[in-house]
Amino acid sequence: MTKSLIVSPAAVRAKGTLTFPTIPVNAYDRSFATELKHFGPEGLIAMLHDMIVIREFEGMLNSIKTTGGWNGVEYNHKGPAHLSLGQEAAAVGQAAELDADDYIFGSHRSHGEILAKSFSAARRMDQAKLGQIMSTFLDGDTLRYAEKIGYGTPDELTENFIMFGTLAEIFARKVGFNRGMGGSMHAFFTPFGSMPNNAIVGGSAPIATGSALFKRVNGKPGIVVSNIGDASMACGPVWEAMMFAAMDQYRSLWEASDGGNPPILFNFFNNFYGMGGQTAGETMGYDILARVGAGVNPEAMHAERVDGYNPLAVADAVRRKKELLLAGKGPVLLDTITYRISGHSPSDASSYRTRDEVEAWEAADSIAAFSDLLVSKKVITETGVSDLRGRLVERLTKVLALASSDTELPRVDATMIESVMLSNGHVEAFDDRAPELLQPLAENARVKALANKVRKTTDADGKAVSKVKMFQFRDALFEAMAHRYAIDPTMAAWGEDVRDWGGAFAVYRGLTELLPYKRLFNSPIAEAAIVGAGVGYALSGGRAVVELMYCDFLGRAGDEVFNQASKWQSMSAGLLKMPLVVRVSIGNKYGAQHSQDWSALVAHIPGLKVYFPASPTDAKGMLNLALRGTDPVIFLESQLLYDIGEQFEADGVPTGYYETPEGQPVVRREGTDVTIATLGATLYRALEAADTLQSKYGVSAEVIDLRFVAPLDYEVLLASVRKTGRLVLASDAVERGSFLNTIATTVQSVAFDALDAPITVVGARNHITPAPELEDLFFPQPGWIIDAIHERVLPLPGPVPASNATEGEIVRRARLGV
Amino acid sequence: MARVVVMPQLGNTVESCLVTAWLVAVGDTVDEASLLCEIETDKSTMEVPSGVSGTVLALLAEEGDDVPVKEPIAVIGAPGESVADALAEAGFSGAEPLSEGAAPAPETPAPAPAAATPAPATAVAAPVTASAASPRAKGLASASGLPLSAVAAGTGPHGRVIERDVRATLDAGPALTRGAAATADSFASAASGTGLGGRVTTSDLTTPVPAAVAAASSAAAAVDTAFPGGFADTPLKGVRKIIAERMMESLASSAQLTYTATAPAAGLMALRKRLKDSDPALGMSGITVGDLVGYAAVRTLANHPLLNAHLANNVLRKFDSVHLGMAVDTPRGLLVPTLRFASGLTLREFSAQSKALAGEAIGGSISPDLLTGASFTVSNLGAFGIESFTPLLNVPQVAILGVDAIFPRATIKPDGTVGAEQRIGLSLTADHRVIDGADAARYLKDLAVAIANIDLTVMG
Repeated sequence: MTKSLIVSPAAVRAKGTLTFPTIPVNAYDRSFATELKHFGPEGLIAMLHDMIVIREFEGMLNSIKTTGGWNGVEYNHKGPAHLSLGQEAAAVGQAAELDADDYIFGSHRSHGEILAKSFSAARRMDQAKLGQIMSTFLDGDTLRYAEKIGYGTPDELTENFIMFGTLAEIFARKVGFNRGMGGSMHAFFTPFGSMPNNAIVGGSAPIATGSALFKRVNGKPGIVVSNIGDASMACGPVWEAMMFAAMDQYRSLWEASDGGNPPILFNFFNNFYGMGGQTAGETMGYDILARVGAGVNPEAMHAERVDGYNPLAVADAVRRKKELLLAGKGPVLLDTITYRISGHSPSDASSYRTRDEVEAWEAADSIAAFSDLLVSKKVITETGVSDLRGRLVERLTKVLALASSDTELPRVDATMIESVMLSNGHVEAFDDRAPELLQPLAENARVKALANKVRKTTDADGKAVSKVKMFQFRDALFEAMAHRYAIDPTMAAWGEDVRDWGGAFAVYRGLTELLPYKRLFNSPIAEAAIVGAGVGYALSGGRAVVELMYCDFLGRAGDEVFNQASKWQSMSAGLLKMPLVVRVSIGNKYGAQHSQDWSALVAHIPGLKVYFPASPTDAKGMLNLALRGTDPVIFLESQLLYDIGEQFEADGVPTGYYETPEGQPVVRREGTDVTIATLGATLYRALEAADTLQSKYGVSAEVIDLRFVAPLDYEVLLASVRKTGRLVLASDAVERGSFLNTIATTVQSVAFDALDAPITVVGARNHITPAPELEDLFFPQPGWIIDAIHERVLPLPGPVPASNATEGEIVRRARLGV
Repeated sequence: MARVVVMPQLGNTVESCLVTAWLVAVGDTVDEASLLCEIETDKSTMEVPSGVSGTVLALLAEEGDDVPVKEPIAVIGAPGESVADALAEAGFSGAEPLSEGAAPAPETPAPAPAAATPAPATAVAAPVTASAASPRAKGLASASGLPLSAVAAGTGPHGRVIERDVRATLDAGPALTRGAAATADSFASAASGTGLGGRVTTSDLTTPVPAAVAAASSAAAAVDTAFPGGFADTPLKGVRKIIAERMMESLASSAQLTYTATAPAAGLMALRKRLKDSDPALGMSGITVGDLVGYAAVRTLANHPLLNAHLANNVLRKFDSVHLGMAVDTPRGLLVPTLRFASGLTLREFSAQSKALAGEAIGGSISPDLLTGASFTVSNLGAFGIESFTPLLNVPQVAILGVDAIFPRATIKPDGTVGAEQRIGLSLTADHRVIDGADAARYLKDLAVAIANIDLTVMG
């Protein structure tokens, strides 16, 4: 969507054919002499070293899981172990060409990648920096234990550190790389460029894309690799990530100096199985995975199939693709074939493949082949290989002996876990360079227009202000966005139709003129990639604001919200921050699939903050709060409110910067007889109900806007309930499973003795949202609130209930499931 | 091993005692005879000796705590010993030390332990009310001393008693005292009654002065000393709290009224003089006028068993013997020790035993068992010059005799001339539910005769 690109009928209707680039398959062709010159003998031996480490490490875990011990050390490992026996060459070949600045994101089967990447990055790093990383990581906790293992040279201490840190993490130890909070499927070590490994298949693709976007937008060095499996090629988020990474705009609309497409390498470690489903031949139709690149962009993603059983072939491909990526010509797809000798997990009986097939791959074993090559080329002797293996087995035995010691190595306690669920930080700017703006903020047309608006619903004479002259809820959001954009150079926002259009609800109108493309751009309609990229961007060190046009689309970004944004701060033991704001608009009048308040879904997920402002002042104060924080915030906005003005603050929406106190509900109308607490736009219907209760029945209702779902400070609500003795909770979410039920339970638990009636929840019906003409059958109405009070809380003199709010009706509806 | 000191069982009926003051602190060194703390039952106080020597390791109750008997109150042992272990050893693993610390000085190992047996379970199930009432309504009723049964009808959903129903009952409930009623006309309303049983008193009516008046008077007060000047708040506890509750219960649960009469006191005074001047070897010289009247009251009850009775749960229990409660003014407040089987005693025994009981009550050493069980009570305020008063029943007793001072009163002699006569006042409070006015009057009449002829009465 931009006026600079014309959709011409003549052009798009012209006759023609499509041709595709040739996609190389196992095209590695470099002489050994060239490789020896490139890596040097030490480099080649180092690769062999790393392959042996992975083989022994994974073999050790296999033995621990299946026999309860290895090499005389007994241990019962309760957690999972998804091993990469057989896949060593692929991981090592890739890492051989990557620096610490190059990031790899992986999967549940990434022990080998962590080890390979860490060894390679450590070798390519100067000793002073390496020493500094090891001695400061987790305040030196991990290093202290690595030192206990015994070592002769600094390299051996590094070996201890990497192997012990990884194994201690797998064993959930407090001194593991992530204090045991990640475990086998999620271990990683960011100082060496080993980024979060993801137990959701394909989960790393959108996150790695966001990390690459962070590098591109902020001019950071290095490339980003998404290491995912062949079976993830069918996952929607993987496709979405490739589409997001391949967008034309990076080259057609962004500044040339921005550097082109994000440097993202989608590397598929293709071991031909997704657990047991055989991809090529059974569950997919691509024949050769690399073919898929041809469907993404004219460059076919520079796709290649690479022989992952030859570390040199993998290194060669990564080296060439890294150049393309740094030049902005990505994304790249690599189909790195490999084979998993071991089962999917120790419980895998391999019923889906023949013994012959496994033996054929064992005969082609990459480690045997590579060591034979190095021996035949006189880079190392047979004895040298067996000495190397012997030395590594001995070291690993010591590492295991320590890592398995329950007496030496404690685990974290619940207090520690609680402490890393949220970071609760406040960061003005994540980088100290000047924020890039296309114009001074003060010259922005919308900023100037807003200066003339009346910042509340009535003017100085107390007369109602017309909508066009009024500073609206959407303007309040704009002010918060513009403020932080002008302070934090890393802040970027994307979503559907956010640029030019200004967002479907005109919140961003004016930002197009203010910001370069890279800080505000339209995404494909790809909610998983929109949010997933935000996750990767944020955990890489930038502030991201992404938008879901409708809350109903949350399901499309389900994994990214529920498993990714919410989890990585705590799974990294607080090492990563997640300054990600997900703006989510809640609709109405659009029927069943565009009108749902799903606050309960996000309330249920630990690790998220959930805000839901209902007034313009709160919209700005709460977005300001979210945009200075370091936690993932689901920022809910009701479409009923975008055009409202401020009616609670006497002086209107403040012009300067301020933040709403986090977690604090606010009393919007004081009363003594009953408390009505609301979440979202229902506030205004509750106020109507309060007016009627007062005028018609003499009942004084206190109305509270909860404003926050999580965190939520109950004190204001409890104080009110202790005063009135009665609580009615109302929101536009359907009643069943509504977050209001959690509030009801909590208040009842804490303030039971203060209650004069059962706490009553008034939600939307457990129906689809019907047509706008019928919405008063679905959304809570002022009359419903009064009826509920009359039937269940405080019988009123002589009302005629318009709705059935009786207990019997509650039971009837539940019985019918409606 | 550290030893646990438990709350002693003070009499068979005592279930718990109040810790009124700690006499030691954590870290203090104590021996067997050292006093750890003062405790108080509803009617007596005493000090708890350590029983063991060592260092105070932990105090398990705060001053003001009501601790069930046989529950741990302190742990004594050698410095550094574990309080938790000692409690666990003695079977109190759940107890939490209030204060615990390592004592500085080393100490000899504790000898014989105080008897520390596991306490019986003390959990008491909350009473279940039949009618549905909201928690808030129950709380308000309880705080206002209003039985929920007094709330006529619940107006909540399904007839649930809710807050407004309790409020309505409270608003409608309090009757005005006569004085308040007389003053009420000049005031709009009284917010709530602070008098007995929630009655609105005159002071309640004068408290909520109109706003304008309040403003004016506060302005005036600003010139002078700030209203209301200094004051001291003392929370009711111990004996005082018990007395307060008992007295309220007495008034709230009985239909008592007081009958007053006088009796010629010349005989009393003459006999008292004779006794006082008697040979001390007889052991009669300490018998007082109070003893004589009390003795006469007990004797007279023999013909009025209706007054020597308990009324509880609609059952009237008339006692064969008179167990005489004697109101005693003590430093902790009013105590009423019981002179058991008083009707079987000679005057000398009656006097000696009542003096001993009063002494124990005043000294705080009386057994709590002797503070209950009376069937009739005498309260003597004669020494204070009280002419007449309305003693309150010790429920479930149905009668109490107040003994007033002896005053000279005008009398018309048989020859028609006016003279003076010493007479003693008698104030009998009786529960009208079982004792009609004539019953009470007959008793007073007989008592007056017995007193007038005290020299004969004491012989019977």
